[in-house]
Amino acid sequence: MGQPGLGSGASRVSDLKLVKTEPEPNEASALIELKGVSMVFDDGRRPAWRSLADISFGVKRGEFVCFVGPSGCGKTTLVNLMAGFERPTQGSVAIGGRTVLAPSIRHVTIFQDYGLLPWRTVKKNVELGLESQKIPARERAQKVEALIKRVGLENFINHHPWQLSGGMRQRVAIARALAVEPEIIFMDEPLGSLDALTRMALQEEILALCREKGTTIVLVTHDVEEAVFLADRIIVMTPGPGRIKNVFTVDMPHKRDRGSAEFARTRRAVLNEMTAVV
Amino acid sequence: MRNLINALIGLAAILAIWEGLIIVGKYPPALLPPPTKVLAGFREIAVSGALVEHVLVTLRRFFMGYLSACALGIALGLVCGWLTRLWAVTEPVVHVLRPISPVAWFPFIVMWFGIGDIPATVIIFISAFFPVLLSTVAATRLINPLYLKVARNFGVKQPLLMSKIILPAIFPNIVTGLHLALGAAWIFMVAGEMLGAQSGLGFLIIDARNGFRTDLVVCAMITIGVLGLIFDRAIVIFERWANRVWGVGPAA
Ligand SMILES: Nc1ncnc2c1ncn2[C@@H]1O[C@H](COP(=O)(O)OP(=O)(O)OP(=O)(O)O)[C@@H](O)[C@H]1O
Ligand SMILES: [Mg+2]
Repeated sequence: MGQPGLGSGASRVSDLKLVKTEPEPNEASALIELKGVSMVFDDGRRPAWRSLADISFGVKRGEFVCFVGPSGCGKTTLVNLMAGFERPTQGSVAIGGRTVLAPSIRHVTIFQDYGLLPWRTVKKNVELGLESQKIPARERAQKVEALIKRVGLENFINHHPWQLSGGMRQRVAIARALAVEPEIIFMDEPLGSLDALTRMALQEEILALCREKGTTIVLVTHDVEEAVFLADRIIVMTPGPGRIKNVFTVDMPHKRDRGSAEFARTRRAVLNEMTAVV
Repeated sequence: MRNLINALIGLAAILAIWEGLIIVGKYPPALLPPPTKVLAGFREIAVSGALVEHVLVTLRRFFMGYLSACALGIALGLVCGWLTRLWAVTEPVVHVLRPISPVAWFPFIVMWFGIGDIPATVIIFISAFFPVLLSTVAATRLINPLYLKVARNFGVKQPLLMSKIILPAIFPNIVTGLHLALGAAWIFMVAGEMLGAQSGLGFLIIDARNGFRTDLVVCAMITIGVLGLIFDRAIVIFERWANRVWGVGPAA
């Protein structure tokens, strides 16, 4: 089962417009470009740990890319590198042709545990990124209120994060990211701690809200179904050290029907790739 | 309500033991003044206005010393907690200074500032400063790195990083230090006023002793205890409020 989807099932693969492609790192049109990225954690005490090995790929502008892989395969590390929180041990990460040296307000990250500031109300949390920009207070307030309405939290505008459910908190985080109109949104298992129904609802909201302005999205998850529902391309990673195993292009139109045969087949193909012995 | 009843039972018990001791032991009133005499003493200094005057003086010194210690302790604590190297240098010094009782500074304080408001205020300051400093440093160093990541991502830079992110993030933890400091400062307030002041509750104790008015000594002691209790309750309420507004919710 080393090459699921290509062996006996090759003809089926073409049926479902599921194209298996090799990583294409040096594409000219790539917005985010990783070249030979490796990450070694070496704190000098424990043996050095290789978290990522020789990752190369490109994300096109406006694309929705999902990384799927088992726990510990370096997904968070990869997001940290792309978002500029950390620098790779080897190789380079570039966005728009420039090497990423530090985080930027143009590339916002949404964290699994939301990263809301507990001492701030919903309104003040959403406003955070606008405070460092020179926007008149009134315009700022209008924008914040509109966004909070957009994510359906207008009745919670002065609530603190601890007064909200997990799904609502993640909506606040999404509104906060959208407020600064970023070029890219990175999401590290943004829905990982939510129940199934809330997850599905928020997946649809992510599509509706984040795609509206053509924002490029890189989302990391271990939930294959989530990836198949959302992504233009799915990148399957394997652990120890983290590598790109394969890339799937998902060619179903939105909003995808989770119950359709094509959805199920795509899901199976990605899952097989994930669980297959290397 | 139940708490109040329990408190009253405890109070009645201590009064009974107190009165009982005097009846059984036949101690002279100067050695152990009976409750009735203390009550009369309270009436006396309340009517003359002396009690209110001493309390107000004490409160003024206390809040000057305590609040300035909080302000400086938090400010220096943030800086020392943030600049790892600076703390590595200052920490040993702090740990040598901290175990020295604030009262040990007394000879110098009097030489430098004379007698009056300042010595007591300085003693209060010293006793509050170290708990605030240490808890702020510890809290700053243990700040959830996620907040710093979010701040970097959204372009929050120093000095706003300090005021908008770090201070509010760690405030619920600092409040614990403020609570400890309040208790320590209130305790050393008495010593400060006994040694270097001509007014205040600490001075009242010394003054009453010199006049063999042990009933007034007890009056001053009770006043100190009750005020200390009130401040302690107040800061507990403040702690809860801070947890609600700054923290992760109403802590259990
Ligand atoms: N700061 C660090 N120091 C040392 N090792 C680290 C560090 N960060 C990550 N690692 C290691 O790198 C590997 C990848 O970690 P990472 O958090 O990126 O995985 P992940 O795919 O996000 O996992 P999960 O799905 O559980 O979140 C893990 O084995 C982890 O132990
Ligand atoms: Mg992770």
